[in-house]
Amino acid sequence: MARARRGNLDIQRNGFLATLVVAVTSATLLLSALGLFRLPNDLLFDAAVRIGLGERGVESTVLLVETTADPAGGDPAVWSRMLDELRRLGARRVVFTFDPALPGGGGEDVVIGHPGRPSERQPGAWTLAPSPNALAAAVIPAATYGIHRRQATAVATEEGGMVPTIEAWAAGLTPVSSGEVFLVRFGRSADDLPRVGIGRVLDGGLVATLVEGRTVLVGPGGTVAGRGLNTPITPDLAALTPLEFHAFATGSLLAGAAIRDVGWLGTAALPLVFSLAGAVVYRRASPRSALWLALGLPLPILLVAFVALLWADRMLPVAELLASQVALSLLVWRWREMEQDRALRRLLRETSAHVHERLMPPASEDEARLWSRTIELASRLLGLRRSILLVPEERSPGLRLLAAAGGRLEDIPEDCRRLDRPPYTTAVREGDPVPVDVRFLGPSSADEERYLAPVMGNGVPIAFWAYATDSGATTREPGLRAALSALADQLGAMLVETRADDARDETAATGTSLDRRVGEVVALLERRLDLLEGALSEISIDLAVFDMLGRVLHANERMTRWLDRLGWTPDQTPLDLLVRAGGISVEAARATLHRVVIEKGHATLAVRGGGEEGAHILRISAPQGAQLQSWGAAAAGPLGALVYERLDISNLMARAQLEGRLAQFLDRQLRNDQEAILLAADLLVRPDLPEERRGLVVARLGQAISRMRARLERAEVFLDDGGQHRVPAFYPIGPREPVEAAVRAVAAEAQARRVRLETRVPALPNPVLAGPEVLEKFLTAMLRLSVADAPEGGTVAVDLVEEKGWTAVTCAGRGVGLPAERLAELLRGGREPQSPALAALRRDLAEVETWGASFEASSAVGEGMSFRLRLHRME
Amino acid sequence: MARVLLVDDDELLRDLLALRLEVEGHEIITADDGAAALATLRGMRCDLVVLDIMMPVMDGLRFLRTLRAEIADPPPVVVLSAAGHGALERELLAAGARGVVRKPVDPSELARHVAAAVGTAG
Repeated sequence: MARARRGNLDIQRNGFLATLVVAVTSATLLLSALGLFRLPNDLLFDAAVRIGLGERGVESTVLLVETTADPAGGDPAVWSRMLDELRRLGARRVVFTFDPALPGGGGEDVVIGHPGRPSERQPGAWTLAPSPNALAAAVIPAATYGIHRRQATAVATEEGGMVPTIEAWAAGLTPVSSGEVFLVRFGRSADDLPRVGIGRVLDGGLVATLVEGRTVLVGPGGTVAGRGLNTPITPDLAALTPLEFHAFATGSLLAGAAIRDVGWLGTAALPLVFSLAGAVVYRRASPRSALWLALGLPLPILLVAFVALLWADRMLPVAELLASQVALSLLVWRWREMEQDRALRRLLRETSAHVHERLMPPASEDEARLWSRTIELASRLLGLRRSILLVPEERSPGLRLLAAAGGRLEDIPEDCRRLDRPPYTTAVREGDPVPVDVRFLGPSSADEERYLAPVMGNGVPIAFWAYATDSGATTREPGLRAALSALADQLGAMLVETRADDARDETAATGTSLDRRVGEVVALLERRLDLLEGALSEISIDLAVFDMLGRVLHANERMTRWLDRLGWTPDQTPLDLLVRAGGISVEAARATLHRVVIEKGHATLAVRGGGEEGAHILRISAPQGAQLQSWGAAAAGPLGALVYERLDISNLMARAQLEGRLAQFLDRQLRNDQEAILLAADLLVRPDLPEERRGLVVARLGQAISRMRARLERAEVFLDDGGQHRVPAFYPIGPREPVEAAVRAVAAEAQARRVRLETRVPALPNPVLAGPEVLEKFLTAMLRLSVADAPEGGTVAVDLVEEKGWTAVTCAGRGVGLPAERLAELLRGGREPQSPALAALRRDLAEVETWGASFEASSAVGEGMSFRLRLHRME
Repeated sequence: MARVLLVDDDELLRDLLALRLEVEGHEIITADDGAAALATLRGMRCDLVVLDIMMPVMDGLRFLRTLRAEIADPPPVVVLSAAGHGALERELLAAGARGVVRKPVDPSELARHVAAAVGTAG
């Protein structure tokens, strides 16, 4: 059906294009008939002549014999003598452009011109002076736009007859029944025409090779001032004499190189053919190539015209072709724009209808607060400077504010709040965030970029999200662009859910009713599931899962209790939770979440809030894709979820993790069981279930229930086995605190010796595997040795550097130093060190190495000592 | 009536899903993982595949990618997934899934998806 609709559309479009082609061609022909294209075509012909149309041997067919200015009054005996001489030398034909009054007309090979002038009584006809010997009209046609380009083969007389021109006679085209106008093929210059004076002919000084086979034109030469014709080769000077013009025209006919127009049929057909070809190209071309096409299409037209002129002796209606192409391209692009506008308007109408169906206006203060909190959190997570969420108004193309962070509705000028205008139309067309100009989104700042993103719901735009980022942020952080796009998707899903939740409730209320007994079994199993979850919560990790908009998707009992103690409430955000739990600044919390969300990494920090005994860490991650499934966070949305795990690290970490995995595994298996039970129940209440299948379904239902029960029992057995594990002496701890404690411990000694301590530690380093007390003592000893070794006024650098899988703490500074072998022996050899700090290092080194850590000490006399402790880093 | 290949490693769930689709009038072929499903499709033409994601040997996503690479004119695939939204769903659709049905499966929703996929497949 879709194919058929598309087919109909194609037919409609092709029909419209064909109409455009016919209209453009008709208009072109009309303008051509009115003569509007004559000048441009003539100018193109002139240009072709000047860039080398080519002589095609015109000059080799004629010879000019120049006479005095008024030869008509000359002695006929002289002309006869000249004629004899020319015949003797082999002249093909002799053409007089005047009447020499030869006795008997001169003979078959003589053409006698007869001056003509346009008739005053009859437009288009010529008046020829009466003369008994006149055989032809030596007509020079009226110049078009002041320049002579064309000659006729015959002209109509006032009496109604056709008289050939001397060119037609000379070329042997007589008799003629109708006249034909042709374009003269001019050479580069009139100087190329071979010519002699009449005196030379009469003197017998002419050589036969110059005359033999040529048509000799006899007429007044060019020495008389004031006479001459403008032609394409002499446009600025009246320099071509009528004799020379006749010579070029005659030569054109004799050499078969006269240029003809394509006639009315050609003038009509060519624009039609080229317009059709253009329409096909424009139809298939993308809007981006419009400019190139508009610039490129005239080129082939000009090339074809030049080739036709050069080799086919045809003058194409180039101006008509170019004009029709330009008109067609303008019309086609305008038409396509209108089509796109129509599609966009339709989309907007549908969108508007969809929005009004789907989107409830903020019904309560709570909902408005929810959106405000959502946008605020989104801005903080992604590091946005300003963020405004707009939704369409009812029954108007305007937009209203749903929520904003760091901005307000007034930041968007009133004339920029219409759905049917850019940048909204652009954003909808692109389907992606589009940059917006500086007027949009409040006062301009040079170091920020502003975008408008369409928020899609069920495939149509239902809202718009405007935001400002730091300049170049999307380039610097490759994950940010994807996160922004995903968040826009999630906002769309959330908007749609506002209504979809209601719809689901209705469906559930009117949905399938389960068999009562099955319902009881399911209820029983669900109670047991609850018990299992409760049991898992007691011994397992504390877990809370948020979506990226800050909504709690899941929190187990333990976590909920801890959140209560912490004073965190559901109307606060995961960011607030991080601030409270870790005792860190809002900015540090924001940076942590930003890293987790954008770089898809993990973050771990020591828990300081909540007032509980024991050591805890809070681990934050953003599971994606299949991982979400295992977290039971199916509703997390396209940006994924934020998982907060609070682990009691005073117990065995491994056990907590094992239990966590078990819980996920059990959860997945139990969901399958639950689904099987519901499917069986659904089948049993269907009237169309064949009777013979009913027994099988009941059996499968029984199996599903048994399987779920068995699984629950196995889980419960496992849970009863809890608490039998060894407590280790080391576990994940934050390395920052031990380093800072060590620095504090030696600060007084360093100050007394005026040694400067330079400490470089990241704000939120990942945890390392270590025993906290031993690590602090070990680091203090390292630092104390370095301070003691440093000269007064020296510097000791303490660095904490995170590497892949490792965290290194180094102490280094210039100092007195020890021989390297001696230091090694003091640390690991048989010799007991006297220095308490060295003794402490030596004592604790064995335990440090049980953590999987490594220690390196280096020293050189006169250079100083340096220490490096590498610890396993938790990622 | 369409021939539907149902791929799920959970035998119990698979049988019940098969029964449910049979009631809708479809012919059901079953396979217990992606590799077995591919083997079936190499020897038999099916109108639709209903696919679970988490399976041993070859999971649903890998099956989808292999299907497009190896089977000429592959049948449409409707995926059963516990992840309704998000990256996984996009990944599944990008890999060629015709639709995604959220778990736990609503039987009527599955029937609608199957009908829609079979209707457009031809």
